[in-house]
Amino acid sequence: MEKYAKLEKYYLKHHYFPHLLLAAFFCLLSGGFMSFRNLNQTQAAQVMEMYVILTGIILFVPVFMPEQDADIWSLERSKCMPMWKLYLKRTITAAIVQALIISGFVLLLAKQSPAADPGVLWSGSFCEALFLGSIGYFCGAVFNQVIIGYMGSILFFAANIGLSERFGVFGLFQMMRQNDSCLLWKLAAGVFFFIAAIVLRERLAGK
Amino acid sequence: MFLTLFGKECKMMLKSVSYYIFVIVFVWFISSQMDGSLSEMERPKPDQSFYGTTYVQDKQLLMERKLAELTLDIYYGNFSTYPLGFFRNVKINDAEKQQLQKIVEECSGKRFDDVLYGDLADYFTPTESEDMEEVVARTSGCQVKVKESLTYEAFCEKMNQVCDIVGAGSAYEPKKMERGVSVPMSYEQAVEEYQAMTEKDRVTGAFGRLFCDYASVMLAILPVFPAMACVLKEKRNKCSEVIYARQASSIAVVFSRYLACVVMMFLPVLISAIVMQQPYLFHARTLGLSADLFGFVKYVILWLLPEIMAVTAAAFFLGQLTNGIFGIFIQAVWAYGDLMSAATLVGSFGMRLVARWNTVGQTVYFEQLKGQFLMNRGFYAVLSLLFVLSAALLYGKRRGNGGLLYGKVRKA
Repeated sequence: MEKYAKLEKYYLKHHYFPHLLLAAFFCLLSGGFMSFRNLNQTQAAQVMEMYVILTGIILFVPVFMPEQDADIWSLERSKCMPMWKLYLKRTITAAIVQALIISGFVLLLAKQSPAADPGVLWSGSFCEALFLGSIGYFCGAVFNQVIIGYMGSILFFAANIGLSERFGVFGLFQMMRQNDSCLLWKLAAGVFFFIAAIVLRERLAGK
Repeated sequence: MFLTLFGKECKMMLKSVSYYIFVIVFVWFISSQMDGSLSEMERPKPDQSFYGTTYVQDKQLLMERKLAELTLDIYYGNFSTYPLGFFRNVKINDAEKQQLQKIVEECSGKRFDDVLYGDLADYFTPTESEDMEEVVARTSGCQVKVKESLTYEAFCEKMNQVCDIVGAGSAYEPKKMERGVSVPMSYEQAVEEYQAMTEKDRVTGAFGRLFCDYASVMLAILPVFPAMACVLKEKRNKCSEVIYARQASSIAVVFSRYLACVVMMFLPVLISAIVMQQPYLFHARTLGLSADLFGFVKYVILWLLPEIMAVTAAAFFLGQLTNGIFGIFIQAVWAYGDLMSAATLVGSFGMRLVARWNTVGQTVYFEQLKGQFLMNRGFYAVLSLLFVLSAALLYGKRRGNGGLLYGKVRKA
């Protein structure tokens, strides 16, 4: 356990810290772009879906960034600890930070906009952020390039502005349409992408 | 030396996954947006119920329209603002609502409810028309009579008070009213517009602008990824030292790389434009109209090339500055902000990265704005050169310091 904690600390300090800073900066900027007071459910959903879920891209996509360096990847593979455990720990860390960020925004909305339903906002935003982030996570893992990961997530978000309905149950911005029936689909797809990315990565490493 | 480097960089681009994603996404997006509608090529008929809209400078009408817009915003309790270039929805509380209602009453000389259910009664009457453009034109054409004694200057003063309440970046800022008001076109105006489209634009030019409108949305962000991959490939492949030791100057290395990126990304855009022009060209010829063979191409060069240059150059500069991928976020925010802050989808170029012209034709209006448009694109062309020059200087500095931008050894 101590070994994992040490590795996690090293990862957070030397690789993940700039991304956490970026996510924090992104959250601090929100006041300039979004209004939080006197919103109804749809307007509160707009704040969460048009802005807050973007933190999913910042948090989940760079998980495989250290291994972009082939030397680090080879070194890590030579250790007895399985790589999937390392990836899983990083992903769980990202999910915890994601949950904290969403909780912060939902609390702010609950305080300033009593008409909004915090439970619906939290679950909807978390599933969408996780799903959006998982797309880039998967692309980044397969191509071993974080840039392609960002490309995947950002382009999926951009495509949803105007074409959301074409993606069916996987389309974003469903809360704004007061449709919360697709959340489980997105959560399941997000988890699937995370698992598939780790499995594929293990296979790539084996070659 | 420069041409050899350029050729090598072009070959490298052809091996880049992000470049192929760029091509696929761009072609998919543009072909899904250009639906091949050819009805605009037909001459307007005298008995049509709606001919589209045009802009006029009429201060009385402008005041009446703005007052109607304000009344409806107060009724719904929502104000769209763009304080930092991004959309921000402002929901007013009861005290603010009363202050705003008072402004409407002072401008109109009537009680707020009388304005809402009297002057705006038509707005609340359901329409049977299925033409969305007509419905939007009718609802946005609501007017509220202003007091006879109210001057335009006094009205602007009142609108400034509205801005103080709802915050910066609302549609009530007097400078945003300078464009004029949108009014439905008459048959004569529609014919004049049609003639301008067939004679000045020679048909394909009008559709070329629409192509550029859609393409410019995608090109505000898409080139960032291949460009950033190109900038960071040295770091990724750990070949910086080998390249640093070469004879080629930093300017030659960065400019050849930049030029390769721009050329390789512009090529699919140009080819798409040429291919997508064909149905319009063919249909115009079928109708006996003289169509411009280079209608799409000339707009693509003027409209989209400076945008690709600017976005790529910014990626080069930010990539060199941070030596990491964080430039992607800065550029994503730039593109998203630029798009979301668009007050109109037709014109209002200003200093915007994404030049919008989401309509076919409006040739007369475009001719009026042509100076502004050329100034805008020229600005981005110059800005891109400044960015890439700065990137070359940063690269040279890093090269001179053995890979460290600030000459400082950092703890790994």
